Amino acid sequence: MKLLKLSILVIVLLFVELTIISYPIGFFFILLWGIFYSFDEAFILAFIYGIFFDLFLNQPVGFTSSISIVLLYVVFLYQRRFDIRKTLYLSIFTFSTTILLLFAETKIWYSGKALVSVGIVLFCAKLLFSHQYYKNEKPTYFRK
Amino acid sequence: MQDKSLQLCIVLLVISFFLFVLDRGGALTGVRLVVQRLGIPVEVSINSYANSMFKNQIVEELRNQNQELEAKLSKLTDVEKENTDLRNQLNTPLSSKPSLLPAQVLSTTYAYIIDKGSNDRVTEGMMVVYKDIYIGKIVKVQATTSRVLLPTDKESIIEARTVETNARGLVNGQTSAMTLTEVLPTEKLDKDDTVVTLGSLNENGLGVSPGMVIGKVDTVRKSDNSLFQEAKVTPVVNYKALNTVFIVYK
Repeated sequence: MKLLKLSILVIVLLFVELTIISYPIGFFFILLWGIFYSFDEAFILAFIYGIFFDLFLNQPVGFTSSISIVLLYVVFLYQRRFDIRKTLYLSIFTFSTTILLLFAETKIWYSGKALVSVGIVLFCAKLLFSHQYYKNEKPTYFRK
Repeated sequence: MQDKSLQLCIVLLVISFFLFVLDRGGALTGVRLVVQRLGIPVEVSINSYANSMFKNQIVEELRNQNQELEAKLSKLTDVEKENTDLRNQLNTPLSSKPSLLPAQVLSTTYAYIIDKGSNDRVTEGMMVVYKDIYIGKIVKVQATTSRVLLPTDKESIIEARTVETNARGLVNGQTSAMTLTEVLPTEKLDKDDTVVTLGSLNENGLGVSPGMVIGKVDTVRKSDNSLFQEAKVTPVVNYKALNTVFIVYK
């Protein structure tokens, strides 16, 4: 049920992304959900996001979902080495994943957009997910 | 935990690949059709709501009037020249007026998507216009939607000329603006010259019709060393602000 609600939210964000804002806000949400809550749920959301993205944009179905899952997995791999919830790492991962995702979709290196995306994600992280960070203040590898 | 996530990732990637193969084989056309049919009304309403919310009505009206006048002016200059030519050469066959199919703009962020597709007998290569302004060419057609290649898109190359001086060149897309390239140094290019399509129609009448407004010359780059001169061209219309465009049927 929770996953269904999240999927609906991601699809709503995708609609906004396709019509009004030219930033992958659906992917930002998934990235933040993965970093602050659960990567397993984020992988499924990325899959759904990618499928709908391709269906609406007349692209081969499965392309965007593959890219999104791979990008999320790279972030997931780094969570054991770094505290990816920290501002620095959050910025780095947002910048790199956004620039790669936008390049995969448009074949243009949108470095400016990726920088703005860092701002958007940090703002959302602070606003919506900060309680989650302060609750588990210690980095993942210290929690044991 | 990591193994479980890796397994999940692999499963999802395999499903994505499987769907990709199925889609390439055309097996997902029905699913695509259903999803797009459900999505189109939502996209149209979000688009029109956003446009009505963000646009200042008066500014928009003035902008429309300005576009109309610019289009008329370029057309008048063309008509004047055409008149002179026709005086010299009688019995010139006039091109028949094309019919237009209105289409709603669905998405403008990653790609320019409109709500007409092969079900409406839209084919690749058809021209999309707004008034007398060239909006783009249809490059990909699905059952209910089509993708339009805007003049500002990187892959777009259009044969063009200026109305005032008849300087010929190629308009290349540069993401947000365009560049008029390969203009001979002997040709005259000035700021605010109107750039129109030269026209390139195939035997079926598909392609770009002549005389459609692309944009206005903003800055001219000319150097003694280069073989050609270049000009930055700005579009006369904000493509993303349009709600309805028209597909030219022959």
